[in-house]
Amino acid sequence: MNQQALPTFPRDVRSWLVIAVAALATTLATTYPIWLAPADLINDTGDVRLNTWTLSWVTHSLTQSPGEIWEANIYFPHSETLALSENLIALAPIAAPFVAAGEPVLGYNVALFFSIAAFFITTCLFVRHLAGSTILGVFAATAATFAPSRLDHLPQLQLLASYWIPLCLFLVAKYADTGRGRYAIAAAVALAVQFWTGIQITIIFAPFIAVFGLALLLRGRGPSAGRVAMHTLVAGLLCVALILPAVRPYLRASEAGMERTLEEARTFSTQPVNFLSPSEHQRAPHMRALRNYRGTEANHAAGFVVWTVVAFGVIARLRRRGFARRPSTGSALMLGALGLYVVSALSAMLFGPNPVTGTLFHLQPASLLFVSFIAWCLLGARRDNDDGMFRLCLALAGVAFLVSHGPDVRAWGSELGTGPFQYLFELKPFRSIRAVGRFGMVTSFFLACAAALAVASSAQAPSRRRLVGVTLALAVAGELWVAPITAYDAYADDHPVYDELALLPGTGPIAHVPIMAPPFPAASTQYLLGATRHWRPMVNGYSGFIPPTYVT
Amino acid sequence: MTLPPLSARFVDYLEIHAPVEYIVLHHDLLPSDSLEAARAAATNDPRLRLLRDLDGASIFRVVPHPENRRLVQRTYSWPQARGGVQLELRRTRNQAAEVEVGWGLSPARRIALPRRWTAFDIPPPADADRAAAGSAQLWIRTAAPDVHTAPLGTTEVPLSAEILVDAQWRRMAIAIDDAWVSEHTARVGLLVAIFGRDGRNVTAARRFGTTLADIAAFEGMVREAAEGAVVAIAATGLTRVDSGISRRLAEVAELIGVDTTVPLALDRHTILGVRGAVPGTAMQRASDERAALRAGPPARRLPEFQVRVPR
Repeated sequence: MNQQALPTFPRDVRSWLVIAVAALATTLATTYPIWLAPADLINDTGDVRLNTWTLSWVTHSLTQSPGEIWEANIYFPHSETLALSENLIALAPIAAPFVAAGEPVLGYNVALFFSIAAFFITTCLFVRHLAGSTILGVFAATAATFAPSRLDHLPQLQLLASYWIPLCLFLVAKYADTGRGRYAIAAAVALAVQFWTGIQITIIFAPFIAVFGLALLLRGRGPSAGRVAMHTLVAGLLCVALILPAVRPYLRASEAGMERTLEEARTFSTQPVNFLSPSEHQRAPHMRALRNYRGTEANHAAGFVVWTVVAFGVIARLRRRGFARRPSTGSALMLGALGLYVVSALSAMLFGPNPVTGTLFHLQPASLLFVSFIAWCLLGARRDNDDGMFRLCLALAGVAFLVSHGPDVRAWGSELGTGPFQYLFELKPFRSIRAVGRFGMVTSFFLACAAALAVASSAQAPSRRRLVGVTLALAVAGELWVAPITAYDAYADDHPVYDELALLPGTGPIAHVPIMAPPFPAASTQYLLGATRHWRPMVNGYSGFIPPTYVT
Repeated sequence: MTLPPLSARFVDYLEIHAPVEYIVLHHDLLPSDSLEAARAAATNDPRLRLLRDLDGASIFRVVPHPENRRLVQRTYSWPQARGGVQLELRRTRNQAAEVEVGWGLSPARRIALPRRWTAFDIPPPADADRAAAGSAQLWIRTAAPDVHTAPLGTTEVPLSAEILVDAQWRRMAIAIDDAWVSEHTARVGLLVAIFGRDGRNVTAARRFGTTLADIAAFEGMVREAAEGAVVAIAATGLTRVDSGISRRLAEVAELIGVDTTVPLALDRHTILGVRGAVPGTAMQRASDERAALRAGPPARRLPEFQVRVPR
């Protein structure tokens, strides 16, 4: 943690004004032209309409019959159908006033704008705490918000609404610094609220939050082991108690067979080349030249600005510590495993199966790399300075990079060994994740943090930090620019039949025919958007999991 | 599964698996030939009544056949030891619903389903019920509009519930809508159940051994069944029988439209026939391993309510 005393709100109004303006500008830049007509325009016709329906259902249910919130009106006669997708319950209050006024799309877009801006602000808050500079916080938040791994998921509000995660990390860091139990409690509450906002992103980030907190506590600057154990127990119990009502319906769905398979995880995992692949929406010519697009889960290029700054930070540290003469244990472990990884990959690529690759495969270099990164994380984080924090962020980014490879780590067409996700898959929560590539979002986030920390340790003077920070923030925004994004009219295929259904007698279920609207399943979401006007149970549906007996 | 929109099979499927009140046909989302076929199918199907014909969409009301408006009995059951049981029930959808709860073949007790988990004490079965049922088994049925009937084989006798007759190693069983009517665990023997004309209500169910007296009683039971009653037989291990028994078994076969010996010279044999039907109309299955026979509309296995037995 940076030792400089940070001004806090409301004393430092100017800093907060900078953050607010930057958050607003980033939100507008990443959603243009949606905000020109927020009651009608959406950026995708599939998941966006599903999420619009989800927010509307939650609002409708909370106001009409809160006890039956899980009994959503899709996939009649199946039960607890809200648990077949993300429930967005904690996000619903933001959309609720607009939904109640009969503008569900406006409600969705307001929730989208809020999510982007709030993520920017909480990331800024977190990095500001680590780096001791508001402007470096703005730089990191810009890099994290514009990251292709996030902007490729503009239709997935449940992934974008991850603003509680940086806040949770911030509170964990505060707890490690001060040892005050209230921060541990607040971090638990933030994580629980994040769970109610987006379950999958919480599952993806939770292990990294735990490792982050553990690494900070191992520095020994914070509270005693006894206090930590007590605070962790209380905070853990509180978190479990808060998320338990949301867990039970998902567990029942899981017991009914709605789990992902390792094969799906393999299909939606990444390879190293995906971390050089920008989003298909990016405008900068040099980023477009890099393009190696193979799906919406596979673009994680952090951009030349972030890569350069991080590389600069690594080289500066190796030079400063005279690595060639006296390597630290952690660095040696990490670089050794990384070397093994590279040799293994090159050997497999150049010579095919041979005794060398066989031995290396047997050693499972991917697993070794994973273990080495953890060791590097813990050993590096013992240093209570920017260097330790830089290494910690980089290590977390590296581990997430490895996990995003899925059950089998593959590179350049060769299988290198078992990936850490193979082991995570043994834990039930991770069986809900199909797109393992989404762990790349963790990599992007911590790379952005590491970049800010690299600048913080090299540019000590405030004026220089401001200059470098502003330049880098503008550079990263320009490099990762996506506007204008593709926009669709949410009501282009609207029909008065949905109003007519609201007027028909009875409350019985309906079936829209064709059940699964062509040309692809997501087109059925027009029925979901229409359902926000009649709320009758319907046979049709669209969700993350589809019941096995769904009629098509 | 994919079925032609609004075809008879499509409506059948919806009626059984997701009984709906209205069907909305979206014209723009169907190819023109499918749309024409769907419109023609809807015109010819007496269950579909056109309510609104808007520009681009039509709304149909689904009207069940008048003769299908009986109660469907969807049954969930599990073996119970002696004594009563406490059940906890609740509704899982925003629908009015009642359930019937009873032991074996005893009269049902009707319970209006609550929204929250609520406990109900179900007293133990009377001895007479226990004897009639053959075993004390608790069943629960939802009360909902009937949606379907299906003929038993070529007999045209309607079945409005799914009947399962199963014969396997050391076990014979007969069930309606997944609820065991009765079962018989023996190396050799017969299990017989006689249903009412609608193929739903069980009027008698008994187990038989392989003695001459047992087979005579079996013949008497089938002979006394009313004309048109559905008879379900599960047999196992009856390959070596004396001539007196064979004669009686052959007479049983004639009574229920089976044109082969009962049982066949195979280890497992199941039969679903109708008393007084012409020979060759009974459904049969025989196997050395397992013989299972299902008839009638498939049982709905998706509960519209939840039930749990407190530990």
